[in-house]
Amino acid sequence: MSQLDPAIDHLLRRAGFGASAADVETFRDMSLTAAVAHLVDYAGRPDDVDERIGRPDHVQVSTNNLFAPDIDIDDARQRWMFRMVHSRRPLQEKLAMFWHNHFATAFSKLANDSGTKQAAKLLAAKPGSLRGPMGQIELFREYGMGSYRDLLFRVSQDAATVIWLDGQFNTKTRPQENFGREIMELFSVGVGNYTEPDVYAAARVFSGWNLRESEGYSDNDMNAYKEFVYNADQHETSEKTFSFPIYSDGSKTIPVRSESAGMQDGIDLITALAFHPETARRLARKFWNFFVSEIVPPHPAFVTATANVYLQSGTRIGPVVYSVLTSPWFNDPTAVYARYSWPAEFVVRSIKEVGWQNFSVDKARAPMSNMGQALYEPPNVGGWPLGAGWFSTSTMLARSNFAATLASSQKGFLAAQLQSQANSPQALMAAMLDRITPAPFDSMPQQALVNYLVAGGAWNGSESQVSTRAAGLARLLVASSEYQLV
Amino acid sequence: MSDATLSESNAHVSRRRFCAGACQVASGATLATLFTACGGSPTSPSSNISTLGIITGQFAGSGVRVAVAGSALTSEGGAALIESTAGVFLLARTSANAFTAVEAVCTHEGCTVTNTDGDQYVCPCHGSRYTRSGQVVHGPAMASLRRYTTSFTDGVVTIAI
Repeated sequence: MSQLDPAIDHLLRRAGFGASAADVETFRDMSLTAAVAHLVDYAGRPDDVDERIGRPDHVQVSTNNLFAPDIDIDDARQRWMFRMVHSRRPLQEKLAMFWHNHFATAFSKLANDSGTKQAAKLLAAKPGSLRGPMGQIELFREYGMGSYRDLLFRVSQDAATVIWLDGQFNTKTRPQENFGREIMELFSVGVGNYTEPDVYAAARVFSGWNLRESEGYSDNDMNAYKEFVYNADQHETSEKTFSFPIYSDGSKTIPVRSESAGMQDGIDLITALAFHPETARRLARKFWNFFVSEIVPPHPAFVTATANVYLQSGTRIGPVVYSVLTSPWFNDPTAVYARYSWPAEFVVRSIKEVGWQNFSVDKARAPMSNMGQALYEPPNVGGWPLGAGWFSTSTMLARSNFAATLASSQKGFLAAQLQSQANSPQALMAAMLDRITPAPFDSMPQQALVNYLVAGGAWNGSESQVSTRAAGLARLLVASSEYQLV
Repeated sequence: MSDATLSESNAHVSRRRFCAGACQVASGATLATLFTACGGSPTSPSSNISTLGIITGQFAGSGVRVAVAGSALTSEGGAALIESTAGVFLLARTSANAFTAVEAVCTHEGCTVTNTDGDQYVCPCHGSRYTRSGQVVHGPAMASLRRYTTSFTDGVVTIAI
């Protein structure tokens, strides 16, 4: 049992990445209501986590050269993992991951188009760090709890999205359908709620939503950049009719507009899609899977209630997330440990719970790929395959190997932390389960773990015994099936 | 780019509508000033634009709470840009106990509306103007800003979202 109220533990696994010792201190005396309020109202707390990169009492980052997370994707991955471990705004990082999966955009295609530096910059550059727009992940951090219409609009004009979905090739003579299709299939209403003629109309709506390069652009110049541009002379101006209403009067037709006024076509379609009732219901289902359960299918009453909050608040995500986290479904016992952790969730939670002394998140990069989730590299436009799909023999082996790497790196640290509580194997087991929080074991596996502690000789609680056995126990716990659930 | 995009007819009507409304009430201004104000570019019809002060609101699940003390909202006619975890809002005090809250994202091209002029909000990107209750008084924006209900207790405005 963790040292926190089980309901707060559950909340922190879902709305964050689990609880480190420091998180336990923050949340120990809070009511559940106060804990939710603390998590959702993060704008009032400073976003100072990046300034703590490199501090000795934090997880480390590693690099062969200067740490350059705005232009080097491996460093960007490390920065994001550092943020997941240490941010005082865990929900902000959790939602950034939700949106990263929802608007799945992969580094490799951007790198093929613009080179590795520009691709990293397009995805991960902090605002103001270099010339040019902020990276896509920063949109999710900045606008992830605001209006979805606003987020959808910004993502539609995000250079990484434009490259990823071939918007730069969308011209009036050759409307490119990729973005027009995905904005309906993946970003809003979903399959079954639009037609093929809608896809063609949407392609024409977004004709001219292209890119431009900064003056003297070069892929290797870190201050060069690409940005969205509306090319009026590439916009197809005829009217576009959809199978669903675009305007509040029920009209389904975007009128003929001049080339110069034609950007309004896209804004009208984005607004219509964001406010479409099926978008509300689809997001509700995605939030169910992300926050509540992947094992139990979305409850119809939950979908209706969540969709209503979304529409009534003008598509604002903050009230939606708050509604989800305070709903009876979220706090129902059947929802506890009813999600398969994503590799990022598994890795970050294990670092937070086991320890990070002299440990670099770089050591988690390759293992995460082997577990099936390299950050900034979703497999396709649909994002990662979720649920039980995370688990195969090879990905479970990767999780097990990471548990071994992490636990052995923390051998001395764990021994120092737990020595005074290791009077008996049962006491060490209890102390370890205060830190590391798998789903409850059946009695048989739990006894097997105690047997492990005393294997090879009677328990004497010596320093060397605790040192060896504590790390071994941490490894077994983190690699257990029960720990893969959040 | 699209800042020159509004159709001529729309711009003309909007500018005239603005001048008919705003210029007549600008008592004390000279005729010359009026002509300057209303005869400029379609996107910048006035010269008394200032930047709104920013207040960080507390997002409390289904509302955003804004403490008015020490801000422009302590006096009638005052307005501020509210930043919160759940997004940005424009909040104005219209009387002793009444406030209006609207979406702060311009309906034209999505810029955050950060400026004010008299009793209007002004978008910094293309000059769209809105009343304190979010109605368009000057394009290129065509749609109103979404309005949210407010309540006011003990110096704190709650924007219901």
